[in-house]
Amino acid sequence: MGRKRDMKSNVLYKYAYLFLYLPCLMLFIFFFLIPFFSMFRISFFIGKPLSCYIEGFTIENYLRFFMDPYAHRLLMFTLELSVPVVLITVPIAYVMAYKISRSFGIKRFMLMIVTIFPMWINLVVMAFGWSMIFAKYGFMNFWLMKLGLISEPQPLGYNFIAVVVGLVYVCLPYVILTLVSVLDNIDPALEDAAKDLGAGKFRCFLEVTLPLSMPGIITGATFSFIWAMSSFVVPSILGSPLQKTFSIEISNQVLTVLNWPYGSVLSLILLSIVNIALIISNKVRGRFTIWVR
Amino acid sequence: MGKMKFDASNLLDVACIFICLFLLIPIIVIFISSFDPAKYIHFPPSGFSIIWYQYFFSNANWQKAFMNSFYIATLTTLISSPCGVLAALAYRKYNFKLKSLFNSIVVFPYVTPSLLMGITILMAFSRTFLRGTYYIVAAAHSLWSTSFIYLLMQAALSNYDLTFEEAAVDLGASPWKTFIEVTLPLLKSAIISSVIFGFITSFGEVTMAIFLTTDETVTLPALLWVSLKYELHPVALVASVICIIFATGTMAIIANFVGIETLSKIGAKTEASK
Repeated sequence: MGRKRDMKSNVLYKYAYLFLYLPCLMLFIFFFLIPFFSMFRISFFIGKPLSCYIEGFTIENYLRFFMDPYAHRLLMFTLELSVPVVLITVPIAYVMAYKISRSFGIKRFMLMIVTIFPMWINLVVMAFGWSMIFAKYGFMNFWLMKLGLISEPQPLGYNFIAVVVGLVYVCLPYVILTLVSVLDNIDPALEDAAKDLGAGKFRCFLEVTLPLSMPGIITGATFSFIWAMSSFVVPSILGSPLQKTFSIEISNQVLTVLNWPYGSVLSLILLSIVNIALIISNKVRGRFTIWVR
Repeated sequence: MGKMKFDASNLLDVACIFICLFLLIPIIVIFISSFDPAKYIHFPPSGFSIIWYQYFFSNANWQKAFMNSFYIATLTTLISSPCGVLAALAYRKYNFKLKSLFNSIVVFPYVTPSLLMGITILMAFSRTFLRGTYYIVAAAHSLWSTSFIYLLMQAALSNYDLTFEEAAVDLGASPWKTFIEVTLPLLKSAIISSVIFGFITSFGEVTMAIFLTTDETVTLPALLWVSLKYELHPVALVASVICIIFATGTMAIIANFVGIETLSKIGAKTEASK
Protein backbone atom coordinates (compact mmCIF):
# COMPACT_ATOMS: atom_id res chain seq x y z
CA MET A 1 0.00 0.00 0.00
CA GLY A 2 2.66 2.44 1.10
CA ARG A 3 4.80 1.57 -1.86
CA LYS A 4 1.92 2.04 -4.23
CA ARG A 5 1.28 5.47 -2.81
CA ASP A 6 4.95 6.33 -3.18
CA MET A 7 4.90 5.39 -6.83
CA LYS A 8 1.78 7.40 -7.38
CA SER A 9 3.26 10.46 -5.78
CA ASN A 10 6.44 9.93 -7.78
CA VAL A 11 4.51 9.98 -11.01
CA LEU A 12 2.60 12.98 -9.76
CA TYR A 13 5.82 14.69 -8.89
CA LYS A 14 7.45 13.81 -12.19
CA TYR A 15 4.67 15.29 -14.25
CA ALA A 16 3.63 17.97 -11.77
CA TYR A 17 4.88 20.67 -14.10
CA LEU A 18 2.49 19.41 -16.73
CA PHE A 19 -0.47 19.69 -14.37
CA LEU A 20 0.62 23.14 -13.33
CA TYR A 21 1.00 24.27 -16.92
CA LEU A 22 -2.18 22.51 -18.04
CA PRO A 23 -4.78 25.27 -17.40
CA CYS A 24 -2.54 27.75 -19.12
CA LEU A 25 -1.89 25.50 -22.10
CA MET A 26 -5.58 24.68 -22.51
CA LEU A 27 -6.39 28.38 -22.60
CA PHE A 28 -3.71 28.98 -25.20
CA ILE A 29 -4.68 26.06 -27.37
CA PHE A 30 -8.36 26.98 -27.43
CA PHE A 31 -8.14 30.72 -27.69
CA PHE A 32 -4.78 31.30 -29.32
CA LEU A 33 -3.63 28.42 -31.49
CA ILE A 34 -7.01 27.24 -32.79
CA PRO A 35 -8.15 30.77 -33.70
CA PHE A 36 -4.90 31.36 -35.59
CA PHE A 37 -5.30 28.11 -37.49
CA SER A 38 -8.87 28.95 -38.29
CA MET A 39 -7.75 32.32 -39.59
CA PHE A 40 -5.23 30.55 -41.78
CA ARG A 41 -8.03 28.37 -43.12
CA ILE A 42 -10.34 31.34 -43.68
CA SER A 43 -7.63 33.05 -45.70
CA PHE A 44 -8.20 30.39 -48.40
CA PHE A 45 -11.99 30.80 -48.42
CA ILE A 46 -13.82 32.76 -51.08
CA GLY A 47 -14.13 36.36 -50.04
CA LYS A 48 -17.10 38.46 -50.97
CA PRO A 49 -17.74 41.84 -49.41
CA LEU A 50 -20.56 41.92 -46.84
CA SER A 51 -20.77 38.14 -46.55
CA CYS A 52 -17.94 37.39 -44.06
CA TYR A 53 -16.81 34.30 -46.01
CA ILE A 54 -18.00 31.52 -48.30
CA GLU A 55 -16.36 28.16 -47.75
CA GLY A 56 -14.22 26.90 -50.56
CA PHE A 57 -10.61 26.99 -51.63
CA THR A 58 -8.91 29.74 -53.53
CA ILE A 59 -5.63 31.57 -53.43
CA GLU A 60 -7.23 34.62 -54.96
CA ASN A 61 -6.98 36.57 -51.69
CA TYR A 62 -3.22 36.16 -51.61
CA LEU A 63 -2.95 37.12 -55.29
CA ARG A 64 -5.12 40.14 -54.59
CA PHE A 65 -2.72 41.31 -51.90
CA PHE A 66 0.29 40.95 -54.16
CA MET A 67 -1.48 42.83 -56.98
CA ASP A 68 -3.11 45.52 -54.87
CA PRO A 69 -1.13 48.80 -55.00
CA TYR A 70 -3.40 50.27 -52.31
CA ALA A 71 -2.38 47.60 -49.79
CA HIS A 72 1.28 48.12 -50.71
CA ARG A 73 0.95 51.82 -50.17
CA LEU A 74 -0.61 51.28 -46.76
CA LEU A 75 2.17 48.90 -45.82
CA MET A 76 4.78 51.41 -46.93
CA PHE A 77 3.06 54.18 -45.01
CA THR A 78 3.00 52.06 -41.87
CA LEU A 79 6.73 51.39 -42.25
CA GLU A 80 7.35 55.10 -42.77
CA LEU A 81 5.42 55.73 -39.59
CA SER A 82 7.24 53.07 -37.56
CA VAL A 83 10.76 54.21 -38.41
CA PRO A 84 10.49 57.72 -36.91
CA VAL A 85 8.68 56.27 -33.89
CA VAL A 86 11.61 53.92 -33.22
CA LEU A 87 14.21 56.60 -33.91
CA ILE A 88 12.56 59.04 -31.50
CA THR A 89 11.55 56.58 -28.78
CA VAL A 90 14.88 54.85 -28.23
CA PRO A 91 17.08 57.92 -27.57
CA ILE A 92 14.49 59.55 -25.30
CA ALA A 93 14.03 56.29 -23.43
CA TYR A 94 17.79 55.92 -23.11
CA VAL A 95 18.18 59.31 -21.46
CA MET A 96 15.45 58.52 -18.94
CA ALA A 97 16.67 54.97 -18.32
CA TYR A 98 20.23 56.20 -17.78
CA LYS A 99 19.00 58.69 -15.22
CA ILE A 100 16.86 56.07 -13.45
CA SER A 101 19.63 53.51 -13.26
CA ARG A 102 22.03 56.11 -11.85
CA SER A 103 19.60 57.39 -9.22
CA PHE A 104 18.88 55.91 -5.81
CA GLY A 105 16.25 56.01 -3.14
CA ILE A 106 13.28 58.31 -3.42
CA LYS A 107 14.45 59.86 -6.68
CA ARG A 108 14.61 56.52 -8.44
CA PHE A 109 11.25 55.59 -6.95
CA MET A 110 9.61 58.77 -8.24
CA LEU A 111 11.08 58.39 -11.71
CA MET A 112 9.99 54.77 -11.77
CA ILE A 113 6.42 55.69 -10.78
CA VAL A 114 6.23 58.33 -13.50
CA THR A 115 7.48 55.77 -16.03
CA ILE A 116 5.19 52.95 -15.02
CA PHE A 117 2.10 55.09 -14.60
CA PRO A 118 1.25 55.51 -18.32
CA MET A 119 1.60 51.75 -18.88
CA TRP A 120 -1.52 51.21 -16.80
CA ILE A 121 -3.66 53.73 -18.58
CA ASN A 122 -5.44 52.23 -21.54
CA LEU A 123 -4.64 53.19 -25.11
CA VAL A 124 -7.87 55.05 -25.77
CA VAL A 125 -7.36 57.31 -22.78
CA MET A 126 -3.77 58.03 -23.81
CA ALA A 127 -4.82 58.85 -27.36
CA PHE A 128 -7.70 60.96 -26.05
CA GLY A 129 -5.31 62.91 -23.84
CA TRP A 130 -3.09 63.71 -26.80
CA SER A 131 -6.02 64.64 -29.00
CA MET A 132 -7.08 67.11 -26.29
CA ILE A 133 -3.59 68.56 -26.27
CA PHE A 134 -3.50 68.95 -30.04
CA ALA A 135 -7.11 70.17 -30.37
CA LYS A 136 -7.82 73.53 -31.94
CA TYR A 137 -8.78 75.09 -28.61
CA GLY A 138 -6.60 72.69 -26.68
CA PHE A 139 -3.63 72.78 -24.36
CA MET A 140 -0.88 73.22 -26.95
CA ASN A 141 -2.50 76.09 -28.83
CA PHE A 142 -3.32 77.78 -25.53
CA TRP A 143 0.30 77.79 -24.42
CA LEU A 144 1.67 78.69 -27.86
CA MET A 145 -0.64 81.69 -27.93
CA LYS A 146 0.15 82.62 -24.37
CA LEU A 147 3.86 82.56 -25.16
CA GLY A 148 3.16 84.72 -28.20
CA LEU A 149 4.51 82.23 -30.72
CA ILE A 150 1.27 82.21 -32.70
CA SER A 151 -1.64 84.62 -32.79
CA GLU A 152 -4.42 82.28 -33.87
CA PRO A 153 -5.12 78.65 -33.00
CA GLN A 154 -3.37 76.43 -35.51
CA PRO A 155 -4.56 73.02 -36.63
CA LEU A 156 -2.08 70.82 -34.79
CA GLY A 157 -3.93 67.54 -34.53
CA TYR A 158 -5.02 64.93 -37.03
CA ASN A 159 -1.72 64.74 -38.86
CA PHE A 160 1.39 62.59 -39.13
CA ILE A 161 3.22 64.30 -36.27
CA ALA A 162 0.31 63.81 -33.87
CA VAL A 163 0.28 60.08 -34.64
CA VAL A 164 4.04 59.82 -34.13
CA VAL A 165 3.83 61.63 -30.79
CA GLY A 166 1.01 59.35 -29.67
CA LEU A 167 2.92 56.22 -30.61
CA VAL A 168 6.13 57.44 -28.96
CA TYR A 169 4.10 58.02 -25.82
CA VAL A 170 2.68 54.49 -25.93
CA CYS A 171 6.05 52.81 -26.49
CA LEU A 172 8.16 54.95 -24.18
CA PRO A 173 7.47 53.32 -20.78
CA TYR A 174 8.18 49.81 -22.04
CA VAL A 175 11.40 50.83 -23.75
CA ILE A 176 12.54 52.78 -20.67
CA LEU A 177 11.97 49.78 -18.40
CA THR A 178 13.76 47.42 -20.79
CA LEU A 179 16.76 49.76 -20.86
CA VAL A 180 16.71 50.23 -17.09
CA SER A 181 16.91 46.48 -16.55
CA VAL A 182 19.91 46.29 -18.92
CA LEU A 183 21.67 49.35 -17.52
CA ASP A 184 21.17 48.12 -13.95
CA ASN A 185 23.00 44.93 -14.82
CA ILE A 186 26.11 46.65 -16.13
CA ASP A 187 28.88 46.24 -13.61
CA PRO A 188 29.85 49.74 -12.39
CA ALA A 189 33.41 48.45 -11.99
CA LEU A 190 33.74 48.42 -15.78
CA GLU A 191 32.99 52.13 -16.00
CA ASP A 192 35.32 52.85 -13.09
CA ALA A 193 38.04 50.87 -14.84
CA ALA A 194 37.57 52.88 -18.03
CA LYS A 195 37.81 56.11 -16.06
CA ASP A 196 40.89 54.92 -14.19
CA LEU A 197 42.49 54.17 -17.51
CA GLY A 198 41.98 57.80 -18.46
CA ALA A 199 38.78 57.82 -20.47
CA GLY A 200 36.65 60.93 -20.09
CA LYS A 201 33.07 60.67 -18.99
CA PHE A 202 31.80 60.94 -22.54
CA ARG A 203 34.27 58.48 -23.98
CA CYS A 204 33.55 56.04 -21.17
CA PHE A 205 29.86 56.23 -22.02
CA LEU A 206 30.47 55.83 -25.74
CA GLU A 207 32.92 52.95 -25.52
CA VAL A 208 31.78 51.07 -22.43
CA THR A 209 28.20 51.81 -21.37
CA LEU A 210 26.63 52.17 -24.78
CA PRO A 211 27.99 48.95 -26.29
CA LEU A 212 27.09 47.04 -23.13
CA SER A 213 23.51 48.29 -23.30
CA MET A 214 23.17 47.40 -26.98
CA PRO A 215 21.00 44.29 -26.32
CA GLY A 216 18.49 46.49 -24.48
CA ILE A 217 18.51 49.06 -27.26
CA ILE A 218 17.80 46.36 -29.83
CA THR A 219 14.98 44.84 -27.79
CA GLY A 220 13.45 48.25 -27.16
CA ALA A 221 13.71 49.22 -30.82
CA THR A 222 12.12 45.95 -31.91
CA PHE A 223 9.20 46.32 -29.60
CA SER A 224 8.50 49.91 -30.46
CA PHE A 225 8.69 48.89 -34.13
CA ILE A 226 6.19 46.08 -33.59
CA TRP A 227 3.79 48.28 -31.67
CA ALA A 228 3.99 51.04 -34.27
CA MET A 229 3.51 48.52 -37.10
CA SER A 230 0.41 47.05 -35.52
CA SER A 231 -0.94 50.28 -34.05
CA PHE A 232 -4.61 50.73 -34.60
CA VAL A 233 -6.21 52.73 -31.80
CA VAL A 234 -3.72 55.59 -31.69
CA PRO A 235 -3.62 56.43 -35.42
CA SER A 236 -7.38 56.17 -35.75
CA ILE A 237 -7.92 58.70 -32.97
CA LEU A 238 -4.96 61.02 -33.53
CA GLY A 239 -4.70 60.76 -37.32
CA SER A 240 -6.85 61.85 -40.22
CA PRO A 241 -7.99 59.37 -42.91
CA LEU A 242 -4.67 60.16 -44.60
CA GLN A 243 -2.86 58.44 -41.70
CA LYS A 244 -4.42 55.08 -42.42
CA THR A 245 -2.20 52.28 -41.19
CA PHE A 246 -2.20 48.67 -42.24
CA SER A 247 -4.03 47.67 -39.06
CA ILE A 248 -6.80 50.17 -39.70
CA GLU A 249 -7.27 48.58 -43.11
CA ILE A 250 -7.41 45.14 -41.48
CA SER A 251 -10.10 46.24 -39.05
CA ASN A 252 -11.91 47.90 -41.92
CA GLN A 253 -11.94 44.67 -43.94
CA VAL A 254 -13.10 42.68 -40.93
CA LEU A 255 -15.67 45.02 -39.41
CA THR A 256 -16.97 47.21 -42.24
CA VAL A 257 -16.34 45.58 -45.61
CA LEU A 258 -16.90 42.16 -44.02
CA ASN A 259 -14.48 40.48 -46.40
CA TRP A 260 -12.90 38.13 -43.89
CA PRO A 261 -10.69 36.08 -46.20
CA TYR A 262 -8.93 39.19 -47.45
CA GLY A 263 -8.78 40.52 -43.87
CA SER A 264 -7.15 37.24 -42.84
CA VAL A 265 -4.55 37.54 -45.56
CA LEU A 266 -3.69 41.05 -44.42
CA SER A 267 -3.55 39.87 -40.79
CA LEU A 268 -1.23 37.02 -41.70
CA ILE A 269 1.03 39.45 -43.57
CA LEU A 270 1.18 41.67 -40.49
CA LEU A 271 1.83 38.65 -38.26
CA SER A 272 4.71 37.52 -40.46
CA ILE A 273 6.24 41.01 -40.47
CA VAL A 274 6.08 41.05 -36.66
CA ASN A 275 7.67 37.63 -36.41
CA ILE A 276 10.39 38.44 -38.92
CA ALA A 277 11.21 41.54 -36.89
CA LEU A 278 11.41 39.42 -33.72
CA ILE A 279 13.64 36.81 -35.35
CA ILE A 280 16.01 39.40 -36.82
CA SER A 281 16.21 41.18 -33.49
CA ASN A 282 17.00 37.94 -31.66
CA LYS A 283 19.77 37.16 -34.16
CA VAL A 284 21.27 40.63 -33.93
CA ARG A 285 21.01 40.67 -30.16
CA GLY A 286 22.68 37.28 -29.93
CA ARG A 287 25.57 38.64 -31.92
CA PHE A 288 25.93 41.66 -29.67
CA THR A 289 25.81 39.60 -26.52
CA ILE A 290 28.67 37.47 -27.78
CA TRP A 291 30.60 40.53 -28.83
CA VAL A 292 30.08 42.14 -25.46
CA ARG A 293 31.45 39.11 -23.70
CA MET B 1 36.57 70.49 -16.86
CA GLY B 2 34.71 70.42 -13.58
CA LYS B 3 32.23 72.95 -14.89
CA MET B 4 31.61 70.97 -18.06
CA LYS B 5 30.84 67.85 -16.09
CA PHE B 6 28.40 69.83 -14.02
CA ASP B 7 26.71 71.07 -17.22
CA ALA B 8 26.41 67.59 -18.70
CA SER B 9 24.66 66.13 -15.67
CA ASN B 10 22.47 69.22 -15.44
CA LEU B 11 21.46 68.70 -19.04
CA LEU B 12 20.49 65.13 -18.22
CA ASP B 13 18.34 66.34 -15.31
CA VAL B 14 16.58 68.91 -17.46
CA ALA B 15 15.95 66.31 -20.17
CA CYS B 16 14.47 63.97 -17.59
CA ILE B 17 12.16 66.65 -16.25
CA PHE B 18 10.89 67.20 -19.79
CA ILE B 19 10.40 63.47 -20.31
CA CYS B 20 8.46 63.21 -17.05
CA LEU B 21 6.27 66.12 -18.13
CA PHE B 22 5.75 64.41 -21.49
CA LEU B 23 4.66 61.24 -19.72
CA LEU B 24 2.27 63.01 -17.37
CA ILE B 25 0.76 65.79 -19.47
CA PRO B 26 -2.04 63.89 -21.23
CA ILE B 27 -3.25 62.50 -17.92
CA ILE B 28 -3.17 65.88 -16.22
CA VAL B 29 -4.98 67.55 -19.10
CA ILE B 30 -7.76 64.94 -19.03
CA PHE B 31 -8.08 65.25 -15.29
CA ILE B 32 -8.35 69.05 -15.38
CA SER B 33 -10.72 69.15 -18.33
CA SER B 34 -13.11 66.65 -16.82
CA PHE B 35 -14.27 69.33 -14.36
CA ASP B 36 -15.08 71.77 -17.16
CA PRO B 37 -18.84 72.45 -17.35
CA ALA B 38 -18.70 73.51 -21.04
CA LYS B 39 -20.26 71.27 -23.66
CA TYR B 40 -17.40 71.77 -26.09
CA ILE B 41 -14.02 70.69 -24.91
CA HIS B 42 -11.41 73.41 -24.76
CA PHE B 43 -8.47 74.52 -22.67
CA PRO B 44 -8.29 76.22 -20.22
CA PRO B 45 -11.56 75.10 -18.63
CA SER B 46 -14.23 77.75 -18.27
CA GLY B 47 -15.16 76.77 -14.71
CA PHE B 48 -15.40 74.01 -12.19
CA SER B 49 -18.30 71.63 -11.94
CA ILE B 50 -19.06 67.98 -11.59
CA ILE B 51 -22.09 67.88 -13.89
CA TRP B 52 -20.41 65.44 -16.27
CA TYR B 53 -19.65 63.15 -13.37
CA GLN B 54 -23.32 63.26 -12.44
CA TYR B 55 -24.17 62.67 -16.08
CA PHE B 56 -21.85 59.66 -16.20
CA PHE B 57 -23.39 58.06 -13.16
CA SER B 58 -26.95 58.69 -14.29
CA ASN B 59 -26.53 57.61 -17.91
CA ALA B 60 -27.66 54.04 -18.48
CA ASN B 61 -25.25 53.36 -21.36
CA TRP B 62 -22.14 54.36 -19.48
CA GLN B 63 -23.30 52.58 -16.36
CA LYS B 64 -23.91 49.41 -18.31
CA ALA B 65 -20.49 49.69 -19.92
CA PHE B 66 -18.91 50.14 -16.51
CA MET B 67 -20.70 47.11 -15.12
CA ASN B 68 -19.80 45.05 -18.21
CA SER B 69 -16.16 45.96 -17.74
CA PHE B 70 -16.46 44.92 -14.15
CA TYR B 71 -18.03 41.53 -14.96
CA ILE B 72 -15.57 40.79 -17.71
CA ALA B 73 -12.60 41.80 -15.59
CA THR B 74 -13.84 39.59 -12.74
CA LEU B 75 -14.32 36.64 -15.07
CA THR B 76 -10.89 37.24 -16.57
CA THR B 77 -9.35 37.31 -13.12
CA LEU B 78 -11.01 34.02 -12.23
CA ILE B 79 -9.64 32.38 -15.36
CA SER B 80 -6.22 33.93 -15.63
CA SER B 81 -4.95 34.02 -12.04
CA PRO B 82 -4.83 30.24 -11.53
CA CYS B 83 -3.39 29.77 -15.01
CA GLY B 84 -0.66 32.36 -14.64
CA VAL B 85 0.25 31.65 -11.02
CA LEU B 86 0.47 27.87 -11.43
CA ALA B 87 2.48 28.13 -14.62
CA ALA B 88 4.93 30.54 -12.98
CA LEU B 89 5.31 28.15 -10.03
CA ALA B 90 6.04 25.30 -12.41
CA TYR B 91 8.57 27.41 -14.26
CA ARG B 92 10.37 28.27 -11.07
CA LYS B 93 10.35 24.83 -9.54
CA TYR B 94 10.78 22.21 -12.22
CA ASN B 95 13.23 21.53 -14.97
CA PHE B 96 11.97 19.65 -17.97
CA LYS B 97 12.60 19.25 -21.65
CA LEU B 98 9.87 21.46 -23.00
CA LYS B 99 10.42 24.24 -20.47
CA SER B 100 11.54 26.90 -22.91
CA LEU B 101 8.77 25.97 -25.35
CA PHE B 102 6.12 26.21 -22.64
CA ASN B 103 7.60 29.46 -21.48
CA SER B 104 7.46 31.03 -24.91
CA ILE B 105 3.91 29.79 -25.50
CA VAL B 106 2.72 31.55 -22.36
CA VAL B 107 4.55 34.75 -23.20
CA PHE B 108 3.51 34.73 -26.85
CA PRO B 109 0.28 36.78 -26.46
CA TYR B 110 2.41 39.48 -24.87
CA VAL B 111 4.31 39.96 -28.13
CA THR B 112 1.46 39.27 -30.53
CA PRO B 113 -0.43 42.41 -31.57
CA SER B 114 -3.72 42.32 -29.67
CA LEU B 115 -5.47 43.47 -32.82
CA LEU B 116 -4.61 40.12 -34.42
CA MET B 117 -5.70 38.15 -31.36
CA GLY B 118 -9.02 39.98 -31.34
CA ILE B 119 -9.61 39.32 -35.03
CA THR B 120 -8.66 35.64 -34.89
CA ILE B 121 -10.96 35.01 -31.93
CA LEU B 122 -13.77 36.92 -33.61
CA MET B 123 -13.40 34.81 -36.75
CA ALA B 124 -12.95 31.47 -35.01
CA PHE B 125 -16.00 31.83 -32.78
CA SER B 126 -18.23 33.84 -35.09
CA ARG B 127 -20.47 30.89 -35.87
CA THR B 128 -20.63 29.46 -32.36
CA PHE B 129 -22.87 30.28 -29.42
CA LEU B 130 -19.98 32.16 -27.79
CA ARG B 131 -20.13 35.06 -30.22
CA GLY B 132 -20.63 38.40 -28.52
CA THR B 133 -20.94 36.96 -25.01
CA TYR B 134 -19.06 37.97 -21.90
CA TYR B 135 -17.23 34.66 -21.96
CA ILE B 136 -15.47 35.19 -25.25
CA VAL B 137 -14.28 38.66 -24.26
CA ALA B 138 -13.09 37.30 -20.93
CA ALA B 139 -11.29 34.43 -22.67
CA ALA B 140 -9.52 36.84 -25.00
CA HIS B 141 -8.56 39.08 -22.10
CA SER B 142 -7.39 36.03 -20.15
CA LEU B 143 -4.77 35.26 -22.77
CA TRP B 144 -3.31 38.66 -22.28
CA SER B 145 -3.59 38.89 -18.53
CA THR B 146 -2.26 35.35 -18.07
CA SER B 147 0.91 36.44 -19.81
CA PHE B 148 1.17 39.47 -17.59
CA ILE B 149 0.42 37.55 -14.40
CA TYR B 150 2.97 34.93 -15.41
CA LEU B 151 5.63 37.59 -15.88
CA LEU B 152 4.71 39.33 -12.63
CA MET B 153 4.84 36.05 -10.71
CA GLN B 154 8.17 35.16 -12.27
CA ALA B 155 9.57 38.52 -11.25
CA ALA B 156 8.15 38.15 -7.73
CA LEU B 157 9.25 34.53 -7.37
CA SER B 158 12.84 35.39 -8.09
CA ASN B 159 12.85 37.21 -4.74
CA TYR B 160 11.50 34.31 -2.71
CA ASP B 161 13.46 31.57 -1.07
CA LEU B 162 11.68 28.34 -1.89
CA THR B 163 14.01 26.17 0.20
CA PHE B 164 11.32 26.47 2.89
CA GLU B 165 9.31 24.06 0.79
CA GLU B 166 12.12 21.54 0.77
CA ALA B 167 12.39 21.89 4.53
CA ALA B 168 8.66 21.21 4.89
CA VAL B 169 8.92 18.12 2.69
CA ASP B 170 11.94 16.88 4.65
CA LEU B 171 9.98 17.29 7.85
CA GLY B 172 7.33 14.97 6.44
CA ALA B 173 4.66 17.25 5.00
CA SER B 174 2.79 15.97 1.96
CA PRO B 175 3.19 18.00 -1.24
CA TRP B 176 -0.38 19.28 -0.94
CA LYS B 177 0.10 20.30 2.68
CA THR B 178 3.38 21.97 1.77
CA PHE B 179 1.65 23.94 -0.93
CA ILE B 180 -1.18 25.07 1.35
CA GLU B 181 0.86 25.76 4.47
CA VAL B 182 4.20 26.92 3.14
CA THR B 183 4.06 28.03 -0.48
CA LEU B 184 0.78 29.94 -0.41
CA PRO B 185 1.52 32.02 2.71
CA LEU B 186 5.00 32.79 1.37
CA LEU B 187 3.61 33.96 -1.92
CA LYS B 188 0.54 35.66 -0.51
CA SER B 189 1.42 39.20 -1.53
CA ALA B 190 2.57 38.12 -4.99
CA ILE B 191 -0.64 36.19 -5.57
CA ILE B 192 -2.86 39.03 -4.40
CA SER B 193 -0.94 41.34 -6.72
CA SER B 194 -1.44 38.92 -9.58
CA VAL B 195 -5.16 38.83 -9.00
CA ILE B 196 -5.41 42.62 -8.99
CA PHE B 197 -3.14 42.79 -11.97
CA GLY B 198 -5.29 40.37 -13.93
CA PHE B 199 -8.31 42.49 -13.10
CA ILE B 200 -6.81 45.76 -14.25
CA THR B 201 -5.28 44.43 -17.49
CA SER B 202 -8.74 43.27 -18.47
CA PHE B 203 -10.46 46.41 -17.22
CA GLY B 204 -8.30 48.62 -19.40
CA GLU B 205 -7.98 46.40 -22.47
CA VAL B 206 -9.46 48.02 -25.53
CA THR B 207 -8.24 46.59 -28.84
CA MET B 208 -9.69 43.12 -28.42
CA ALA B 209 -12.82 44.52 -26.78
CA ILE B 210 -13.52 46.65 -29.87
CA PHE B 211 -13.72 43.52 -31.98
CA LEU B 212 -15.38 41.14 -29.57
CA THR B 213 -18.04 43.16 -27.81
CA THR B 214 -21.55 43.88 -29.03
CA ASP B 215 -23.86 46.68 -27.93
CA GLU B 216 -24.92 44.49 -25.04
CA THR B 217 -21.47 43.53 -23.78
CA VAL B 218 -19.55 46.71 -24.60
CA THR B 219 -16.87 47.55 -22.03
CA LEU B 220 -15.99 50.97 -20.69
CA PRO B 221 -12.86 51.47 -22.86
CA ALA B 222 -14.70 50.14 -25.92
CA LEU B 223 -17.59 52.54 -25.38
CA LEU B 224 -15.06 55.32 -24.86
CA TRP B 225 -13.56 54.38 -28.22
CA VAL B 226 -16.96 54.50 -29.90
CA SER B 227 -17.72 57.87 -28.37
CA LEU B 228 -14.36 59.29 -29.47
CA LYS B 229 -14.83 57.99 -32.99
CA TYR B 230 -18.38 59.15 -33.59
CA GLU B 231 -19.58 61.83 -31.20
CA LEU B 232 -17.25 63.61 -28.84
CA HIS B 233 -19.00 64.39 -25.60
CA PRO B 234 -17.44 65.70 -22.36
CA VAL B 235 -18.63 62.60 -20.53
CA ALA B 236 -15.82 60.75 -22.35
CA LEU B 237 -13.44 62.71 -20.13
CA VAL B 238 -15.16 61.40 -17.03
CA ALA B 239 -14.95 57.84 -18.36
CA SER B 240 -11.23 58.41 -18.94
CA VAL B 241 -10.79 59.72 -15.42
CA ILE B 242 -12.53 56.61 -14.06
CA CYS B 243 -10.13 54.42 -16.06
CA ILE B 244 -7.19 56.45 -14.75
CA ILE B 245 -8.39 56.19 -11.14
CA PHE B 246 -8.76 52.43 -11.41
CA ALA B 247 -5.30 52.13 -12.94
CA THR B 248 -3.69 54.36 -10.32
CA GLY B 249 -5.37 52.65 -7.41
CA THR B 250 -4.41 49.17 -8.49
CA MET B 251 -0.89 50.26 -9.31
CA ALA B 252 -0.51 51.74 -5.84
CA ILE B 253 -1.77 48.54 -4.20
CA ILE B 254 0.50 46.28 -6.23
CA ALA B 255 3.52 48.52 -5.84
CA ASN B 256 2.88 48.35 -2.13
CA PHE B 257 2.70 44.56 -2.13
CA VAL B 258 5.56 43.51 -4.38
CA GLY B 259 7.56 46.71 -4.71
CA ILE B 260 8.01 49.00 -7.65
CA GLU B 261 11.20 47.27 -8.78
CA THR B 262 9.41 43.95 -9.28
CA LEU B 263 6.63 45.74 -11.08
CA SER B 264 9.11 47.39 -13.42
CA LYS B 265 10.42 44.00 -14.48
CA ILE B 266 7.15 43.10 -16.18
CA GLY B 267 7.52 45.93 -18.63
CA ALA B 268 11.12 45.00 -19.22
CA LYS B 269 10.66 41.27 -19.45
CA THR B 270 10.76 41.28 -23.21
CA GLU B 271 13.69 38.98 -23.65
CA ALA B 272 11.53 35.95 -22.88
CA SER B 273 10.00 36.35 -26.32
CA LYS B 274 12.25 34.12 -28.35
